[in-house]
Amino acid sequence: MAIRNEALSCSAFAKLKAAYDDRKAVLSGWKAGGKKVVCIAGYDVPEEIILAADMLPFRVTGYYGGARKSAEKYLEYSFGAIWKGLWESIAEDYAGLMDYLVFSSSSDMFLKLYYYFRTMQRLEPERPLPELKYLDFELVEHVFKTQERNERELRDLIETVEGWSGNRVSPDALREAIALCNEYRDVLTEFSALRGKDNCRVTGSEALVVIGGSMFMERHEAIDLVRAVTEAAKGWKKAEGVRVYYVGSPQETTEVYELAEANGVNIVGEDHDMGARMFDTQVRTSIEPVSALAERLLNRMPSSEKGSIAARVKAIGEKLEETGADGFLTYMNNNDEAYVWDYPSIRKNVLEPRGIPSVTVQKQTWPLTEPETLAAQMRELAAMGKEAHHG
Amino acid sequence: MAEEKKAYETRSIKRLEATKTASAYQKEWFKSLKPRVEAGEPFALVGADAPMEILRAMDIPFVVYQWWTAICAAKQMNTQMYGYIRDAGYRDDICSYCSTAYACALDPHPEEGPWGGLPKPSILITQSECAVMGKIENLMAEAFGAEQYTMQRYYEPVITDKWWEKTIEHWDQLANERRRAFFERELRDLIAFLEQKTGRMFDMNRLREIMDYVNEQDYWYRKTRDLIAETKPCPVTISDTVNAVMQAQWQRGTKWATEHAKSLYEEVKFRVDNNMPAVPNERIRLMWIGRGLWFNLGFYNYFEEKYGAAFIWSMYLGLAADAYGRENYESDPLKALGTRFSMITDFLHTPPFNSEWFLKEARHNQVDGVVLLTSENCMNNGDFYYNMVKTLEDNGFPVCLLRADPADAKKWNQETMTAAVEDLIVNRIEPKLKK
Repeated sequence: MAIRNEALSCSAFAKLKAAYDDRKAVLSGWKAGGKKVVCIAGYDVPEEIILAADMLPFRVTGYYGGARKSAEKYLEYSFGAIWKGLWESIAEDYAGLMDYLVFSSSSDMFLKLYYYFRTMQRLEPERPLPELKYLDFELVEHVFKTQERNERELRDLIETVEGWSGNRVSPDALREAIALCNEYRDVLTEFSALRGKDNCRVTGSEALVVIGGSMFMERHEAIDLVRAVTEAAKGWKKAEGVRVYYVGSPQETTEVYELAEANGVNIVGEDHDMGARMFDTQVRTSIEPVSALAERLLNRMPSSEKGSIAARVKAIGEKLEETGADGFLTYMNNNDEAYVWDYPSIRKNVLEPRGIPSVTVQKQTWPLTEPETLAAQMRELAAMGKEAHHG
Repeated sequence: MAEEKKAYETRSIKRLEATKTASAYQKEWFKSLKPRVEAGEPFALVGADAPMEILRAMDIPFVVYQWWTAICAAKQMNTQMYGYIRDAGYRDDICSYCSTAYACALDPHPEEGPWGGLPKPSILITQSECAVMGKIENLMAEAFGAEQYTMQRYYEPVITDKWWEKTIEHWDQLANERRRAFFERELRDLIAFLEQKTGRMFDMNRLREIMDYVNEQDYWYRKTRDLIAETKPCPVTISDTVNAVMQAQWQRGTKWATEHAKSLYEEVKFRVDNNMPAVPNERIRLMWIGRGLWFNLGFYNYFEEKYGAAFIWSMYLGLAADAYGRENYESDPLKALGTRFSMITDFLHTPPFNSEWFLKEARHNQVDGVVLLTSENCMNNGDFYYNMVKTLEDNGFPVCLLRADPADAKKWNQETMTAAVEDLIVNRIEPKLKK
């Protein structure tokens, strides 16, 4: 099973897929259209602030068009596939297209890349790099001083984007942007209900396309298209495959999900930000907007990299209930393996009591060097999941 | 646990009394620690970045868990330790530098560890520098039954050229007011936590005494570093200094550590004054960037004998000399301390702070080449080696990159690593010297 014909023949899906497949074209189009664009590297940069300044947020993802020569030259081996891809996009593929780039502390690697690019501006001043900004949020410790700190970072960002855009970010503009982004997250949540246990109408790879594609377009258009796909997908055939929850390295393309589907696994939920985690928490509208944005940062599902083991165990338990998964997949890129320290606790406290089988895939690279081995692991998971489901 | 016999000599030549006395002192200190902990005194396991001076001011004994890794490695115990991690369902081939103490918690015979084993900590203080470290610390705290306290980090970037010229006298220029205030608050929160947990009251005057000791200790380290840098042939090598400095740094801020630092200087000075070179046939001076090769400090000696190549610089003495001292702290000791414990990572691992300092040290120490050890299985590994290598090589210092695990001997390939350093010496340094 791959992305199915009924999805491909849906015009809204096709538009989302076009954006998903050619992100650079979107960025180029925006730039050519004279809109000011703020590029984002990180999973916690609030788009609301950028929209409130009348600028467009553009999520920078990895380069998947071929060899990542620049990353291989400049980065050490400890940077996994995602980070090398991101470097290649920023340093080469999107060179000259980005004016501003905001990193957030969603992963330690974003901090490193921020420092590296800042140093590159000194090393190679002729290289067309964007203006850089780093948002140093605390995302783990749920205490008042964290809220204060994160609010301060957000106010800094407001000041920065005001300088970039020449527009003041008024509280009203911010509220309006929050309402828009909440609506966007709402429609994605409604769409994701179609990955649910009793009425699974979309495959994991189709979901990635819809969620991911919607990131690379203006919010109003994204909302309309996701709504249209949701309506259409209600009539699609039920998605087959053993229902599996995914944790680990973000999947920026559908390759791994499609490989899973071809081998009997349908990923019905994930903890990464190219999938369901991206829209998992709303911004409260009844309080001061900057406070509300800061609050959301702490209310999100604890990320696989940063979350404490106890928090992850709790969150994974909830997600397994929510998605009704019959299998659990941990997928780690080489040197992107913080999750390995969670797994035994998750297995003991969450998977074993529920009888949910699991497979852990490690040391993955891009391009995939051993797809046959990966396919065999997926088949194994599918077989175990089927047995657990029927047993 | 018996020490494993290797096909090659893993122990280094120890030329200095200061190295022996540091080891002996640590061993005795450790022995005295166990009954205190068993009697119910608080005992903290801390990350290398933790503000140890606060603990010392409250008379709370502590062990730095990365340094414990070094001790276990030197005793050739780590491979066995990582086996306990594997048996518990974790990977035994990653994050070794930060996971040894966790392995000790899983050891069925902890008393057989170095120096009678790591006592069970009641407190774990960390400043999670990387995400993986945070998770390992969660596991450690659970396994030991210790309460975990994590200090927040803050990376507000301030480009500071020549940071080493500001650390000691002008530390207030290292970070902006926001960052200084942030870390002061972190220290105050830590103090409040420790007071509540232990019932001991923090004493600012005691901290002042400790900071005075630290300043004096680091004054002697600066003098020692400068003496080594300026003396050809070199009176001592890193086989002599890494242990002498690291173990005394563990006791930083005590009278003993200060006197030890002074004795180290005097011993090195004696060797200089009496023309006692560490490597009489010294022709080449090398810099070792990265963690110490704890399980195989003898590695360095091979090149002395064969090529007259002396490893004379490591970060342990260099950083002690340039990064720790804080003078003029009297009005605000916590702010001064804050600029230190929060910035070591910047100095060592963040470009361009790290590369500029390494270049300054390479020049000062008159080295001919650099060996850069990159910790192979560290998820947080990444100091922008491209930039480091380019900065050093563009300025005439050829660099050899070694990928290895400094904590676990099982993957070490003596032959390959020796060949890599020999290649640097024979093919890159020697031709240059002949010109």
